[in-house]
Amino acid sequence: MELCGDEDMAALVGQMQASDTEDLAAVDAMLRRFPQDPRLYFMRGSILAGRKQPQEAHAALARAVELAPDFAIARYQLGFFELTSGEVDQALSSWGPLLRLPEDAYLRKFVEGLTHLVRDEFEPALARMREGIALNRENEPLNGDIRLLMGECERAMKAGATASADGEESDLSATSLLLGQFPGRPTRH
Amino acid sequence: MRVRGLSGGRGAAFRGVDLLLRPERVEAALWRGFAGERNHENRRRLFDHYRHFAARLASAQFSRRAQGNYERGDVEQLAYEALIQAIERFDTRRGVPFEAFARIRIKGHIANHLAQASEAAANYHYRQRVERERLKSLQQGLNAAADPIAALSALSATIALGLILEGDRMQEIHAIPDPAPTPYESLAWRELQGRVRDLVDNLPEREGFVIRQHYRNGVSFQQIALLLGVTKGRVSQIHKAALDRLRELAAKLR
Repeated sequence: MELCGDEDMAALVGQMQASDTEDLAAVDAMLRRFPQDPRLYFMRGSILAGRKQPQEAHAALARAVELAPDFAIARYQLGFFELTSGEVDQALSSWGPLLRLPEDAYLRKFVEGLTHLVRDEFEPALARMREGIALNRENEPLNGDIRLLMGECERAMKAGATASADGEESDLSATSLLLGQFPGRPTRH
Repeated sequence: MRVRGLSGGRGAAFRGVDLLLRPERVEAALWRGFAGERNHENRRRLFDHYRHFAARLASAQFSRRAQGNYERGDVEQLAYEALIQAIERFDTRRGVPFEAFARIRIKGHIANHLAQASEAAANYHYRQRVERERLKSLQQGLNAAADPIAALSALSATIALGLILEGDRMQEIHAIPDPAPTPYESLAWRELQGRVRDLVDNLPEREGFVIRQHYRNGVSFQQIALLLGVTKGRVSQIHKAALDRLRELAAKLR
């Protein structure tokens, strides 16, 4: 399998940074030269996901993992993409091999955290994500994404606690309303 | 104070997965599943996903034609028919959003059929057909000869459950305050409806699907049959089994 060389890859990254509109064309041009390079499919998938073209994005991410089953970040992003698509079982299946990473691998922590999250186990979810962020020194944008998710989760937990208290309040109100209909009230005319 | 969501597990006030879902990806995944395997389960998921869209179109078409005497149910049925056809014919590779593709077909299907049919006949036939199908379904296996009163009583209770379930749909359709004479009656009725809804949630998946689609969403037996990939007669049997089961479950609550 012929892979894109370091120089070509650096040139491609430069092109992508220079233009937001031509980035996909640049990756596709490189893919025509190196159709077996999983990194190019991963880049293609990431660009398409950002452009809200989910059909093609998923196909590209899946192809990257198919070509390189040990390409951990591509596998993580494929599973995350599937999770955000509502395909929970598929995501867990894609992530499976990542659970064989060492215990101190940040991707493993993120996968464990997200797995707790989809089971509505919020406290362990947040704990694993926090551990993952502390371990991740190489992919700051990913830490940023996880922090955003943790923030949403914490807000939802607070709102949930409030809604729960409100729920009891409304139950009480309903009971009061019910009791209020018993004899002793003025007849309606 | 009971705090849901903090300790996790069932009973949480929100679902963790809801924090992650992105609508355009969810929609794409449904089509991906259908392209991978054009089976009834995947077709059913797509129908569920777009049902509200079709119902909204039907509602808009119905309002535009308010001068006529069509029932909203007729227009909805036409919209669902066209939705099922659109799901079959849609090709994701063309890059056109499904709703744009389906909108034209649904509107066209409604316009064609309403123009052709006599309004009075449409109303009459729709209600007649729904009621006839339900009754036929419920009469299956009814042993009226052995104990006619017991058979009639069982049939009445089962029909009543259907009416309660349909009450949900009527509220949704008319979106007007419950006309019950007193707040107590109104509350009691809503509580009863809520309990029956809970019972429906406890039905086996296929029975629950038939009941929800038919009573809550107004989908005909014929269309449910298309979605499940079974005959209309089989849907009728599932419908009866579900209402019988609901009756048994309801009896246990007393």
